[in-house]
Formats: sequence, C-alpha cells, structure tokens
Amino acid sequence: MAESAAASSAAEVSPQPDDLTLVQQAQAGDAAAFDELVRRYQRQIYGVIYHMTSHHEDASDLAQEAFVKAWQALKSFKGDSSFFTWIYRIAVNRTLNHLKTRKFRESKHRFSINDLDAEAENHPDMVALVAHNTPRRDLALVELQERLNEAMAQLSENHRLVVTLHDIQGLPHEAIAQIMNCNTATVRTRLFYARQQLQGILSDYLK
Amino acid sequence: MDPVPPQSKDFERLQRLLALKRHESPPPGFHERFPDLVRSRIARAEAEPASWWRRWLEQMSFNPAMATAYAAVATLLVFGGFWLSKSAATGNPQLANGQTLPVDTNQAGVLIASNAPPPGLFRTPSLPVQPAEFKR
Repeated sequence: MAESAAASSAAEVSPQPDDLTLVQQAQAGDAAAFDELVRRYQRQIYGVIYHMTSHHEDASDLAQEAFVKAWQALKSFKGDSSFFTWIYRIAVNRTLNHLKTRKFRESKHRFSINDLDAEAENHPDMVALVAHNTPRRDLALVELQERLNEAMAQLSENHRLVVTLHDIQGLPHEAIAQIMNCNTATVRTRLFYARQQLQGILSDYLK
Repeated sequence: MDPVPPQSKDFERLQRLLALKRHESPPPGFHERFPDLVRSRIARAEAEPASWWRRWLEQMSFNPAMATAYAAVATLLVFGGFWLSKSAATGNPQLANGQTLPVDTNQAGVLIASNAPPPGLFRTPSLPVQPAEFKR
C-alpha cells in the first residue's frame, strides 16, 4: 500500500528531463521536446532582448526568431556548450545585429505602470525610492522606469549587455564570458565601466 | 587584456536600482502564447524555405569560424589572381624579349600558326598611278 503510494507519487513528480535529453529528442524531430526547451528559456531570452531594446514588440519578434533559428540549426548543436549558453548566444547575436542595422528608437515606447508587475510596486527598494523622491507615487514609478531605460540606452551595446546579464538577470561572470565569447576579466571591466557610467546618469536616484 | 578594475561598494545602490528592472514584464498571457507563436513561425519557415543565399548568410552568422575560412579563401583567391596576372605580364622574359629565329616555311612538316595568307595568294598587279590633272 505504502509502496504503491510512493510509486504513484514518484510517477506524478517525475523529474524533468535535462536540456541535453530534450535537445537530443528535438534533434530526432520531436517538436514537443523543443517546445519544452522554449518554455524553459523563453522568459530569460525575452528578458535579455527586452532589456537590450527596451521595446516589447521588438523583443517578442527577436525572441521568436532566436528560437526558430535554434530549431533550424539544432542539427549543428554538438553539445560543446550548454543549450542555455547556445540559445543565449543566438539571441544576443540577433539582438546586436538588430541594434546595429536599425538605429535605436528615439521615439521610445511609453511605459505604463501596467508594464511593472504587481510585486514591483510593493518591492521595498521601489517603495523607498519613489516615496523618497516624490509623493506622486505612480508617476514616480513610471518616471523611474523611463529613467532606467534611458540610462541603459546611453550605454554601448556591449556594456548594456553585460549589465543586463549580470545586474538584471543575475548571471555569473563565467556564464556571461561564455555567452559573449570573451574572458571573465573583460566581463568585469565592462561591468565596472558600465556601472560607472550609469551611476553618473542616475545620480539623482542614488543620493 | 583589459585590467580588472576594483569592485566598488558604491555600486550597491545602483545594483539594487537595476534589479528593479526584473519586474518589467510583457503583457499578461504573453508567455503562455509564446510557444505557439514560435511553433507557427517554424511551420511558416518550413513551408516557405529561405533562398540559398539567405541560408548561407545565416550559416555564416551561426558559424564565425566558417565565415573566417570563406573570407580567407576569398582573399587568397583575389591576391593569387592578382599575383598571377602580374607575373604573366612581366614574369616570362623569354617569350617577351626572346629573339625569334626565321623559320624556313618551305620545309616539309613546318606549320606556321598565323592568320597571314601564304605569299603570292593575293597577288595584285601594281597599276601605274597617273597624277590627276587640274582643270584649266
């Protein structure tokens, strides 16, 4: 009785297949396995592109493109790096190409409070910041978001990328070095200069 | 290699500020729809395969090593062609400056590769030329 209950619970909580297994299944033509990989990494891929472009439609389009290219090039994936690094590289390269070929939009996407999730409004840092700077809280939130995006847009693409991957997405230096195909010292240096620049731009919020 | 700068504690506030960007999210339901969007785009791409040059360019962007190899071969071909054309123009002095010996064309088995007609084929009689007279 107890054994059968344990077996059924084990079947219910069956471990998720790892990336390599899913990649091998997808390489054999299993679209469902690729779907699972898409579900697994879509938020991070969308996130990195969104923070690079500050534009939802562009981020959506480029993220879809990245996964389509990954599917088309899946046969060439040898497993030298993790699927995570590989898909990130595809997304980052496409985003950098996109930013190079088209000048960064001057007419910025107007952010609304709806672009921030509910958790953000009650985040202690957010509350402290906006309460300190202005009593008009909603307006201040939007203003803060716009200022952050403007500040990010003033960075070079490589500096913006390293800030996005490290300070926003929380990736370690080693993973960033693999994605950007450079060494960790370069990542640290870029991060330092990017932060220095951002600190100057956002000095009002950092007092 | 770039020097590794010291980490500054002054960046803590900035990092906390930047971390707020994690809360920016796409419109509701976007991530639920996203796999379907990818699947339909894949189906569209498979129904209308890209032209060979577009696929080739894609391949280049995926594989920088191959792109470098192509570039190296192309450069080699250009420089090789240039060098060959230059050496063909100046590099064979025997052909350009060599003295040609008169060939006895009457000997049997001698073939002259020339477009000139054999002597006497188009022999035209030389007519005496009379000067024109001015009218008086």
